[in-house]
Amino acid sequence: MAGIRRSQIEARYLLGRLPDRYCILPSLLVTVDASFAIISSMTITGKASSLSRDVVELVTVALSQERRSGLAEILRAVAEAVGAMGCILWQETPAANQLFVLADWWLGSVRSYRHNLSLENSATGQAILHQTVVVVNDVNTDSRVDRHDGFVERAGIFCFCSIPLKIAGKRGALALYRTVPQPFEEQDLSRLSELASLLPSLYQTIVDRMSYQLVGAISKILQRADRSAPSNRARLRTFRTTAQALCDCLAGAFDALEVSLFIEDSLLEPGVFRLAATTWPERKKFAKLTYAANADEGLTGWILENHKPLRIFDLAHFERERHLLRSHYPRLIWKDSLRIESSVRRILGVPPDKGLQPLSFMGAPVLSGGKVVGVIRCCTATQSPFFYGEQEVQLLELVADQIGQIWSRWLQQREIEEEIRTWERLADSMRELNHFVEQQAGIKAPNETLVFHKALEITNQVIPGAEISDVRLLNEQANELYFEATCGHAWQEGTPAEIASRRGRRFPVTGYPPNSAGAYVVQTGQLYLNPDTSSPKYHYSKTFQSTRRIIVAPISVAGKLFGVLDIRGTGNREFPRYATKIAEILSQQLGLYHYLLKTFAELESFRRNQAQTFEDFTHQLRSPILQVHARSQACLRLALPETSASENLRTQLRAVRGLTAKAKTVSQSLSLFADLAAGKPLRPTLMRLSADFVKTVIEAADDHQCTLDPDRQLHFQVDREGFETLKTVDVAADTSLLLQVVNNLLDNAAKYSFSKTVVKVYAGITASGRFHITVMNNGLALRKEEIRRCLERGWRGQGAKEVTGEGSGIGLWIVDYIMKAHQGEILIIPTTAERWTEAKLLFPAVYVK
Amino acid sequence: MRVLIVEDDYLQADWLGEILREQLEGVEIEHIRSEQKFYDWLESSKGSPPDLIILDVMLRWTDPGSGISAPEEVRTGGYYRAGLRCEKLLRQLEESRSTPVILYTVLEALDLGDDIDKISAKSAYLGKSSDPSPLVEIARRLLRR
Repeated sequence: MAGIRRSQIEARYLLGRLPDRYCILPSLLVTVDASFAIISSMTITGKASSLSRDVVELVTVALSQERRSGLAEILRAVAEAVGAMGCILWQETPAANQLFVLADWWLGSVRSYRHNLSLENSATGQAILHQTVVVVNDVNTDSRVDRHDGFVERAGIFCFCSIPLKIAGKRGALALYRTVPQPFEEQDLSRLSELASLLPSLYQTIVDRMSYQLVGAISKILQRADRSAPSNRARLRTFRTTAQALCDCLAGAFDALEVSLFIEDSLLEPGVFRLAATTWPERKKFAKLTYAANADEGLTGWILENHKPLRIFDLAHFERERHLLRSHYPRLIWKDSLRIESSVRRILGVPPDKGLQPLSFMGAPVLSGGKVVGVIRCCTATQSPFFYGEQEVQLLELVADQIGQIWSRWLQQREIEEEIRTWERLADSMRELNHFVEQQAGIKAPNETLVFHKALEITNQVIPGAEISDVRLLNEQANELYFEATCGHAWQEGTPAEIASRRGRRFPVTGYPPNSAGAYVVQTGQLYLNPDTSSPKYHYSKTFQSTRRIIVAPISVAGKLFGVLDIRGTGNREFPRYATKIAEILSQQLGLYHYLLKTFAELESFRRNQAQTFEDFTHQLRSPILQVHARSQACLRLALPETSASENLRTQLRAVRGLTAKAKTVSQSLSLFADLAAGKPLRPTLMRLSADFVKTVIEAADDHQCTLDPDRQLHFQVDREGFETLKTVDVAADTSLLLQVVNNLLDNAAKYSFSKTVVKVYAGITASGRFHITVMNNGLALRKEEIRRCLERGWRGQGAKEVTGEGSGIGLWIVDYIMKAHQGEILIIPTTAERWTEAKLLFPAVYVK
Repeated sequence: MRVLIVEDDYLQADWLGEILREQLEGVEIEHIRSEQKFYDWLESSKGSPPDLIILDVMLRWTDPGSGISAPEEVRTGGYYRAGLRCEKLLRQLEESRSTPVILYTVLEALDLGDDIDKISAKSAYLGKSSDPSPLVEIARRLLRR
């Protein structure tokens, strides 16, 4: 039903175009097509009933045509109406001196091979020039007949008539030929005049119908390609198939020998218009598979450069009509790379002595948003009408627009998909890079160049079109940039000397205007983008001559610029619009890495300096303290008379020894702290611990006792007996470090014990067979939950802070380290209800005989 | 003349007491060993302030086993500013507002930062040293006033 409805509409349109002298009656049935039926109940009447039949026949024939070549069928109907054996629709050429065959029809196998006729020296030309019907009833005797090409003889023409008309706005004539001696009568001429007056409308109807169907068919092909492909990638991958279908469809509609589509993939090959499909039978011989938007490349290049359609009446006359053509199409050249005339003769089988139809050419740019993305061209109609008119060009433009819109949409979709994939890749790569930097930060000497190199690898992988990249750091003293890390095959090209020379280049950053992209970025702090290095307005480095585009991003943190990230592309692929964003992110990240690693290096250096300072101070402190301690001890050993004065002196000396012992402990703790903080392992000098070690413990207890406030009535008590076990067990210890441990424990006991209590020190073998030295005191409680934390560096309980300001919280931390270095441990037993707290030093012990 | 030594180091306080007794005739020495004891003393001695107070800056809050927890300002202010808190409290009481004080500490003036500028004009700062003569000289001067 839809087909019938469309035909009804077309019939109404056609009837509307009939001259005014025809009126429409509602009773005539017009058969439109053998397969579908009725237009409406309308009758077309004319001056005579026989003419009405001819008109109905003509309209019926016209409505059944779907191609331009259907015009020949209309000519057949006209010829048959008046008993003619041939009919030609002549039209004036653009050059206006010639007539050409717009369409023709011949009975049987007759073929004219005539395509041109002189306008002035022919009977048909006279009909056009004088706008009158010309009748030649005997070609042999009529001098107006143009006989120069033997056409009349070849076709066996006896008589003919020519009726002037206008078709598609151009002057022309309808000529009817008879091969029998039967002159055209007045009645024939009258009928012909009426029918000829219908021809322009009928021709237009065929063109409109063909246009409508062509646009629909092209739309279907594109929709099918759009919907049937599983993904956009597949759509683009199979575009050649789609393009071929489009070309075939156009070739059918225009009866064209060649329809070719050239398209640009603006992402992969910007500026290159590659052949997507063609109907030219000798595709392999197609001279040029790619074009640029340059008129010097010929007809296709002209269309691409000018973004305008191009139409040439007959390529065979290109040279002759060159000036006229260039007045319409400036700078137009034609290279005839297909050798078209001989090729067409070969393909269509036209002998060299026969006339060749006009090699009409038309092409239209494929546009999207004002930008040319391709070109579609048609050449050489294989059937009449051989000439592509303005209407055909407009139709080709319409089709080109359809292709342009969908092609651009697919490319945009691909760009979006690619951008999404790029961001995903970037996120993954950054995660890996962060992990790598984290590892580098954890080692003694982080390798920043390696970090930069990894970042450059990511840059080249993630940014489409990026092939060469480098990080240049700023030497602030010399005011120049130098290469810190590089990536890309181009860096490895050339001899070793050339590579070294390239790597050794420096880029001064002072001077205005900046003489390099890097200098520009350093001076402005802004990202620099040069999408086309051939443009003279941009300045760029000449390190790589093949560079076609460049991005340089500043590497900075908190306004402080360290260097630049330089990214280059050499191929056809343009940087996508999001490339600058990625470059900014990567350069910011590099800035953070640089800052982080630099800070780590500074901290490490500071830590080393600090440790050295500790060591130095400790050394300076220990020597005099040890001397004072030793001498006070010596004085005490001297046998002084038992007088009150000497007793007082003895007390003072004991206090001096106690104080120096404390200073010695602090000094050694400081030294150990410096070593441990610097990561140095403790290396105790292990020797068998003697039972005499108890004397050292007693002396240490006495040192603490004599510096205590007597009012506190706190006493130290050392049990000698337990140490006797050292005679039967083998305990390996560094006595110097062990004394440090004991002093730390006694110091804690002195600080945190209650008044009027006793600090007990005893030793022995535990149930598990280990040797222990235990310090037990009655004082501030250490709760269970505090036991684990009290060995941490810097930890102090709130109660401890209140009873003494002294203490950095490193005493037990050091004790723990020393005991571990002895393969032993410190065990803190939580405070009992009676306020007793025990600190046990546990050593591995071996029984000896 | 009464001199109060506020010092948590027994040996230091003992030595200072002996020096002052030797150098200043007729001096009576009292000794307080913690910030908390100083607060107690301040409360109990209203109306009879000493002639001079020698005040350590780094003082412990209390003795082990006293069971008296430190107030919030002590917890947050810390051990390194205990003497300054004592001095501030002293100046808030009418009867002890003009009592001369020597802040005698191992801390350098630089270590005390801006806090050194906030002490009363009646107070003097002196760094601890093994030479007692500067202390004795200042103490003698302040006691003469």
